[in-house]
Amino acid sequence: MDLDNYLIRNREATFMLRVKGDSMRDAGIMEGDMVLVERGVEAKPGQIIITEVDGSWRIRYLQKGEKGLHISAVVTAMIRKY
Amino acid sequence: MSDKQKILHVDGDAFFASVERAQYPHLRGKPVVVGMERGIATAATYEAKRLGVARGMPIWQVRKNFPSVTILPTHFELYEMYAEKLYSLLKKFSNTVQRYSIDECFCLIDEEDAEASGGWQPYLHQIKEDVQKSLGVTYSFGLADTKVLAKVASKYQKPDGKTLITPATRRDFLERTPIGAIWGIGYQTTLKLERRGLKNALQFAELSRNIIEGDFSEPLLDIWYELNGTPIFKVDPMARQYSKSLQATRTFTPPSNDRSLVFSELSKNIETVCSHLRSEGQLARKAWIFLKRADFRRVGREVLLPYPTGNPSQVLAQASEAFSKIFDSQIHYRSTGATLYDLVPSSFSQDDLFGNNESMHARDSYLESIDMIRGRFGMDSIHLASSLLSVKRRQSTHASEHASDPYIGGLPFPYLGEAS
Repeated sequence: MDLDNYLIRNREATFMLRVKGDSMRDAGIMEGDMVLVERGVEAKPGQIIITEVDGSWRIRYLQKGEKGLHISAVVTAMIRKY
Repeated sequence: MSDKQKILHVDGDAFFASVERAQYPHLRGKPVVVGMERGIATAATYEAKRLGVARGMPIWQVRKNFPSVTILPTHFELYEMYAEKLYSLLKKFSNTVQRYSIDECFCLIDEEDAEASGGWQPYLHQIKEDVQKSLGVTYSFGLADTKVLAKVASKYQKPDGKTLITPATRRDFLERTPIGAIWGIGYQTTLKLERRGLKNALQFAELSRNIIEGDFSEPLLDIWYELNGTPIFKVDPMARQYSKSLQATRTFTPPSNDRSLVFSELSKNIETVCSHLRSEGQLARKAWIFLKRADFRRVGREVLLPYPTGNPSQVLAQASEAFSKIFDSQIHYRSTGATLYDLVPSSFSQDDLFGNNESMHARDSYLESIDMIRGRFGMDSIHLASSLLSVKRRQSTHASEHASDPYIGGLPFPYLGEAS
């Protein structure tokens, strides 16, 4: 199986972030996990998104009906090594 | 190239600074090591060292024993990453993409693709939006019938520009473009043309062909054709004219706000990187200098070099001005660095068309002697006077961390930092 093709949709627009804190533990994303994120795509409610607030990156779910939000990227994969 | 194609020129806006800005702010105060691509930690932040990471430690060991440490490639690897990304993105819109430098590409755009998107202007907009959304960094775009015109277009509105030059609007644009701004017309040629009373590109383009052929050399005739809408220079994907970039950076302890010392450090880095450049048989057309503050924030500025060079005195002369603009005596700095890019082979005869190369080579020939002395007696055995403070300080304190700044590793994607 080609991991690259499996995990990455648009290589040129893909970036990485490390997760801090446990705000996303309900999604199974823990502190220290890596997420792959894609810039330039439109986010749908229910997706996990990255936004920038006061110079820091935030990770959370996009709620239904949210408006006027500047979304930096959408999370497309999470990577955890054991 | 056919009638039904135009040439797109994509040019990074303050490229290194933009990439740094897009990535850096989130790594302040964090444990970070650099050297991903080498497999060895060549540098580590104070926070990483405090955890127990040591310089020279294999990367696999860092990952295993210190999972909270961020591992990054060195900066020019990061800039390369962006260059690769740009290339791949543009390939979606064009079959023929040429990487001209680390932040510039030429592409051939087919008219039918443009028509399918509603015309040249909308298609240009679409390409720009796609590239910038994906990379998070702005570029200036120029679309025209020839390479020279495409470069006029991309330069016309910078930063974040997108300009289309058509046969109908060509003369207007040229009238508003100074001769010196034309790609391929170097400093000396500009002077000669100005002495003839020519000020803007249109005046040059409207000279008769006979005058160009008679009084100037062939390369200038090619440029003349291109300015008049006749393509001469092909978009050749195989002609990869640039090769990476080279960087030298060193940390000094303790951090200092002493202007002479900090400048001296920069001078030494410039000497080092020029030395490497020469050993690779290359010359640089652009330089980037940066200072890292005690709080790890970096400030940098681009330095344009008047001709391709590996001569540190020349680079220093230009860098000195840039240094004055970014240095703040209220701030303590911990490291300086210099990157040379837009590289060409030494055998490249530069774009001055009046045979002024000889004088330049004579001026730079002493560098061979310098390289020989260094080869026998070591890098610090001979240096510019401006580097003296730096060299002496190191010799007395034995402090030479090879710190470089961070960027992430493990996977080949640019690291944006942490998200909480």
